[in-house]
Amino acid sequence: MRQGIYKFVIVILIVVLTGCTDRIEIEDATLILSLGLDLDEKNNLVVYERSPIFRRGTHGKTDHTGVHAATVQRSYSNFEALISTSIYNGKTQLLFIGKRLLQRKEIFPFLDSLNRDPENATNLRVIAVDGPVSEVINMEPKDKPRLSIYIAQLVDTSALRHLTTKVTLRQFHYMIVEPGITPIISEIRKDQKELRILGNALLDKKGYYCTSLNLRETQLLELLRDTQRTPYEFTFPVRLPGNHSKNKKNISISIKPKKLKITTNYHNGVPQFDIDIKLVGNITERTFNMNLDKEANKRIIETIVEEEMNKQMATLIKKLQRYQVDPIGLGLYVRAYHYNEWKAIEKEWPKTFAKSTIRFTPHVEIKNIGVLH
Amino acid sequence: MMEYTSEGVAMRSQSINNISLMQYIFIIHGTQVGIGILTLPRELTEIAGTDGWISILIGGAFSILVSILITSIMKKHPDKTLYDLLLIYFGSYLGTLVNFIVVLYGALATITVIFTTLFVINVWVLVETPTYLILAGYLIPLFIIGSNGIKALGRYSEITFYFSIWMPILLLFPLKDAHVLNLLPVVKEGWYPIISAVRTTFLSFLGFEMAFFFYPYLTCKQHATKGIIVANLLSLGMFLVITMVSYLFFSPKEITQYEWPTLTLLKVIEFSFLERFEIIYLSFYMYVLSTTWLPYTYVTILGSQAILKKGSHKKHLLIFIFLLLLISIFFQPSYLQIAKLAKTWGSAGYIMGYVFPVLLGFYIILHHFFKTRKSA
Amino acid sequence: MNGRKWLIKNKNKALKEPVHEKAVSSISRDLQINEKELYSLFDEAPDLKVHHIKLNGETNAILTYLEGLTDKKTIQSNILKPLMTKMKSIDQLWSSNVIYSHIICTLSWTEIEAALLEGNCILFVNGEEKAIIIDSQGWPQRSVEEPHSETMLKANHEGFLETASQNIALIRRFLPNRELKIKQYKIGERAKTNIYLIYLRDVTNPIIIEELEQRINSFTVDTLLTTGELEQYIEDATFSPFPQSILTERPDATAMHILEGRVAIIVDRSPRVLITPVNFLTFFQTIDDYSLRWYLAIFVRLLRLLSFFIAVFLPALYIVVIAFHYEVLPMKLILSISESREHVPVSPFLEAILMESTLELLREAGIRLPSNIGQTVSIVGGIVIGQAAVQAGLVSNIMVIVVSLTAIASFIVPVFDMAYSIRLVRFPMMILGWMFGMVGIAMGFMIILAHLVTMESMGTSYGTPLSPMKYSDWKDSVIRSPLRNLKRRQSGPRPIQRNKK
Repeated sequence: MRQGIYKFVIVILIVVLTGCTDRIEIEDATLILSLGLDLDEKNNLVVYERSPIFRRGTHGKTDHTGVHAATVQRSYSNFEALISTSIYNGKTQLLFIGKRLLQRKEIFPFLDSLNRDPENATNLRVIAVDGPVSEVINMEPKDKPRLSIYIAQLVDTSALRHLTTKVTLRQFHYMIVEPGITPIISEIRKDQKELRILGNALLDKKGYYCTSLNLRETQLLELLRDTQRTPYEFTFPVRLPGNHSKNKKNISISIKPKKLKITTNYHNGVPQFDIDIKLVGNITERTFNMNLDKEANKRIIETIVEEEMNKQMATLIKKLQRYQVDPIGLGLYVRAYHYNEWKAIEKEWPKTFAKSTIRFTPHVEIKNIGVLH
Repeated sequence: MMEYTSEGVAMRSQSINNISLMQYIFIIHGTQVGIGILTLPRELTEIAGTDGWISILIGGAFSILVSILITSIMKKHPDKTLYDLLLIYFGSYLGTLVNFIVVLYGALATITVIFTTLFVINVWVLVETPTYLILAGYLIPLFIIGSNGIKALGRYSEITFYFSIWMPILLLFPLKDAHVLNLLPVVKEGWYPIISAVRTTFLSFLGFEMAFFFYPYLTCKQHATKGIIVANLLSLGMFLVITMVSYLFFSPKEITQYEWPTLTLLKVIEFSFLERFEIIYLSFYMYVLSTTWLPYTYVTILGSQAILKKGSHKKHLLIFIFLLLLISIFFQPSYLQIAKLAKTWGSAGYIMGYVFPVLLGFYIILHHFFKTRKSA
Repeated sequence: MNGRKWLIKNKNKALKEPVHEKAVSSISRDLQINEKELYSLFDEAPDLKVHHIKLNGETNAILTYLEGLTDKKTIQSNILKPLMTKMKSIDQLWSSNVIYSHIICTLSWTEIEAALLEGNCILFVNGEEKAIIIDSQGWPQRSVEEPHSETMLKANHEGFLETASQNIALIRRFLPNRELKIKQYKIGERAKTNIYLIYLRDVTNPIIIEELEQRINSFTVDTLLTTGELEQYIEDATFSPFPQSILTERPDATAMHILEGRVAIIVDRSPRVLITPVNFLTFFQTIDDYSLRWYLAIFVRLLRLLSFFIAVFLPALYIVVIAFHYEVLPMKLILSISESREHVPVSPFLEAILMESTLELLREAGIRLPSNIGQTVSIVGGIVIGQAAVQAGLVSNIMVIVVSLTAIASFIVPVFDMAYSIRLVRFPMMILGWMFGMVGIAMGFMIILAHLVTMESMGTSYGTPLSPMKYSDWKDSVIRSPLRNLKRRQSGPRPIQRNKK
């Protein structure tokens, strides 16, 4: 009896062994490593893709095409009409979005298929391109590894140094849906022969492009966002009384944030934020003379750094408020501590953010100055 | 000198189906951790916002109370399952009718869990493969374990628990991107949403009604109450961990957009040598889900044997397997039908697991009261 | 027990044919008739030696034996010499005053025939109706050497021989204890084989002994050639891929198992001893583990378990990752795998089956070749053929690595039967992985687990200490605590004396 059942099961299994299944042959597949979205001159959507070719004798070659399509999902069918192998997008590393697209259309509905299909990788990095996406996608850099991997590594290492923010698709989705924070993505540009990280691009609640931050501003913003506690490298100009030499005086300091505290208060329907941050740093470069053995001198340097930082931060915050974007996520604090007031201003948080007062107080402590006096 | 330890005596009675206390705990815990956990964060957030974790605590308290009630009902007749009990208390006709309803409930639970498993596999992992093939694969271990009695089920649940300890631990991985502020303030909109969300946790805690059927096989019955409380606490801990991680990781507006937020949470887990870990995790979780539908299959088979009184255990099992296969060939549910099936099981479970024991408890008290009155 | 019992009882019920009995069953007083009877019984046996002697100068007697089975020296010095020189009267024979070896008097031809075939010699005296069976066994035997398949580093280097009495002696050397009981059974219709059950009476559970006796008496066979055959007749689950008893050639390992409460069955003429009941983790333990320091023992045991998982799952995982779930690998690995797989014309499943089958062929071939050629063949096969296949574009590099890792892993398992089973279980796992991807592997895992959990070996569960979880047993299963802490016996074979004394 038991044998009969086993035989029946085995026969059934063998009969359908050659049936339709989910197998793929990866050497015959096209894995899209980079996806690009842009608008052409007539404001139609163009979708670009870049994928490696696995054919005998074509080491390092890639395939890059662009098609017109109404949506991203439609573009896959159009790609299939051009490429001989099947398209799989489980390993996409990068999503390039052209600035033209960000300025003219809402980005989020375009990304719906990437979010909906579970086979997609939601760990892909979202990058804004200052210029046409086709330039970036069609680049063939010499002496560098595959472009997709190269850009992915570029973004990752820059994010470690806080020169840009690594935003995955899932985080992007979070920032768009959550009312207390506005989206932020990395930004690059193709300069003649090279790719350069510009910093970050700030978008508003709907996904329209608002403004960009350069490298220095990105670093300051990252201090406030507090996503990773790896060291920051800042260089500040120093103005000391007396001793007017020809060289500009600068001090470079490598800082690690130790503690970030944001307190909120509500005054007359306008929130007030006090950002207190304690930083610990090492001096890595000093282009002027100063005897740092004395405690007083150390305190002078610390004060100079604090003032400089304060000034630059104030400029940044003014810029954010002018464009009505809140990439720091201060809305979350309002929701946590003043829930009732939050319910009223939830839908218009960026406007309220623009009206609120933000005070930034850094405390810098220098721990060591290297091996030179 | 010979020492006849209790082992020797126990071995003689090993031929009867016996489960130890730990196996009892793990059977019940395994049944409770099933499909509810996949959608729980979303359902709670829809009603109670990010305060759903309090609803889980309250729901857990309810399930513990009902479990203790069930255990005390079963303590009165230590070696009878629910089917025998119903025949005793309700007579043979009414009792058989209620037994039949219980069998239907067991079948409904099995079908719901199995088809949800197949549906999730179909959406997330294997899109093209016909579901009846996957079901055929799962029916083999069902046959092996089903034909070997409750003992095999106890051992299987126990070993599955130990093999799946790493799963909740790995779920703490997304916490590195956590937004603690999501949980504040506590009790945002007042207590009413929290209380009304408790109803949705009932489906997740379903599984303690296994005590109705497995209590007679427990060897050390004096620890039964302790055991079932431990099982409920383990499940409570699991649900809390998952819900908290979901709340910390997602924005409250975001959770409601995902159908299975727990699975979307898995997409974030990434190691340096393995990306997209959710595929491995999910395949393994489908195996853990088998501890949910295997006991319900037992319930169905035990019931059909109690009603029909003829035919061996194995024959009933085979017929059930064949029916399942047949159903899956002809019925491929859509996502709406799956949701409706889950809701139906939820309501049936609400009646079967929460209302029914209370009513039965009252009936038994009255029954005994009148009996002692009569004999006095 | 479970429903498999009916399977065991009903099989092997060969028709009991009566053994051909001779018409004449008792000895006659006349020597000539006896001699004629002898020649008719052993008509085509040139090794039958019939030695005519004269006792005391007057009585005729014949000494007969099968040459080759007897020890010539014993016959000459213990039997013939005193018979010819020291014997004064016939009565001395019966009171064993003359012959130096052990004697039994007998009247029946069946006993004489059996005794002759076992290597004893018979003395027929003219005019007496009794014959004497004289102990003189001395068939060709091997000297004690270490078994090839079970070499240990720190343990004893002795292995069992082919004679049951010597094997019993080797075991008694390890357990010189009054409680070591030996039960003898004779199995076989055509040629009786002796088997011996060896156990410690105050440790082993009597239920196991009863069960074993029942099973031994439940089958009939013409003769038992190897212990392996006995294993298959008495095992629980014939359809399981996993073995349910251990066959070992080492006396120290046998002693270790007997001390745990297991039963050792010695089959005459076979150097392998059967140990039962066992559970799954016993197959991953060796006696060398107890000679190592405890953390080294833990490392080695964990390595063995890991190799079990590698041997069973690795080829299936390779197929799944290449054919279904490429997303699991990091990008660089995918690129290098794709580049190495470009030229391969076959699907990963076929490639895996091809390579695995080739490896199995090589392994089988390597067993029968003498050792010097065997080495060359394995090197040629493994390296050259593998490399050539990669360059010809038939298989990819990664497949060769996977296959060799699997082969190495399957060699780590110490017990031969289990290693063989693991090699087999690999193939259905590959098929499941090919059909259902990662879900298939989880399914296969489920099936193996369900199977281990429900299997029983002689009434004790196979999955202990995992499946009926016995926390106290964990001290000596996958990990091994320092020997001072291992004071209680394992509960797997359900011994009746738990403390080690």
